[in-house]
Amino acid sequence: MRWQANHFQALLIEDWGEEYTVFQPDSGKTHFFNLMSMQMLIFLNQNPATPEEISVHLATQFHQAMDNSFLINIEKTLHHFDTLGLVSKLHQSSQHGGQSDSV
Amino acid sequence: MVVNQIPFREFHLLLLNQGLRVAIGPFNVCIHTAYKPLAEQLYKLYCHYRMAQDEIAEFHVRIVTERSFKNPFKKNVRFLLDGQSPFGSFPQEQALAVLEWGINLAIAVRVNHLLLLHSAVVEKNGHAILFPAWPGSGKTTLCTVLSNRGFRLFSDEFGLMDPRQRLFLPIPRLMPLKNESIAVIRRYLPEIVMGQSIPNTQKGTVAHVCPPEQSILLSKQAAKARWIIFPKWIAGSQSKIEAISDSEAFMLLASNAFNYEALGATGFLAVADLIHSCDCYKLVYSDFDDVMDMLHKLMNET
Repeated sequence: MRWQANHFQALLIEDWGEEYTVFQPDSGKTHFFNLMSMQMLIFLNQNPATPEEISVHLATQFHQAMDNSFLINIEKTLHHFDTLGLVSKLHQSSQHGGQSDSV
Repeated sequence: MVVNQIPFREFHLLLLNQGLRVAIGPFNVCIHTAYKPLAEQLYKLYCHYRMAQDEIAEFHVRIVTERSFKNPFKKNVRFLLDGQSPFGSFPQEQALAVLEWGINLAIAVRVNHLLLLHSAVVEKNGHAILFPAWPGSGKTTLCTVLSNRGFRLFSDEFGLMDPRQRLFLPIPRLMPLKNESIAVIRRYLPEIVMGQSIPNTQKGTVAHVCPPEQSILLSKQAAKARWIIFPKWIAGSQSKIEAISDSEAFMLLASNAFNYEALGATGFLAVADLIHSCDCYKLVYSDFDDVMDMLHKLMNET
């Protein structure tokens, strides 16, 4: 399953030095993100990705061990983002390279 | 013309008939009441407010008396905003407190062209200092002290920010001290003009303090904020002021506003701009002299 960011360009983002406040016009809500959450959202805006691909990208960027607990945390954050309407699952027909769901 | 330039009889007739219009910060409020004890209290406590009889009033409020259902020999009062009653009725001796809460409610629910922070605001040397806090944090008490010790009162309740000009607008209203704060302030500021104590309100005993005359006279002079201080009064505590991160200050401030969500992106950008332009702190205190020393130190460091 690939995920993509929703309306990323419409978000208002204030950078407070590794912490971010993000205004989401679609919901009228303000969210508070740490650096890793923000990088995840930026990554999903640039490339629709599976949780495994996100994990690899963030583990490299933040020098984290790419283990199962890290992947579970990524999936939890994705689910949270999905609840907020910040990301959505990419439909099968528009997936890169015709890859099938992998979660 | 200010209220104390007219005799009580004329003041009372205005309240009875066409309504008394007073300028309270950026708003004009038209007050009607036939309840004479309230008229007497208002004549004393509103003495420095400018009258605005020929101007448009943003809020039309009224205190009416009615018989109590439970006890027909007892009279209650009811607050009306544009003829609508947002509260139940209250014992008539609470009329002033009910009127003041009613005007606060009107501002909180009707004003959406300004960002409304739940905050005390004072000004010194052209800079506004915000004290955002929820009820019970001691902001009215602190504000009463500061506004009588060299700081100009903007408000003990509302931080009114014009989001386009990034300016705070003064709205100096009566300051309702509650419970132990009443005796504390009577001891600390014996010279202060305070209304009578009103017992058994929904917030306990309340007594209203008249804002300093100078603060009311200068209520057209807006200011930009320079410091945001989240206060907490804790009995017997050692006074302490600590810088907080901008991100924490943002979330505290945004969650403290009455209409942040209603303003949408305008509110977000206004709060972000405010945090960028201010130094933000958390303050724990129990001693007013300590607070004033800390504030003067902050201002001198700038």
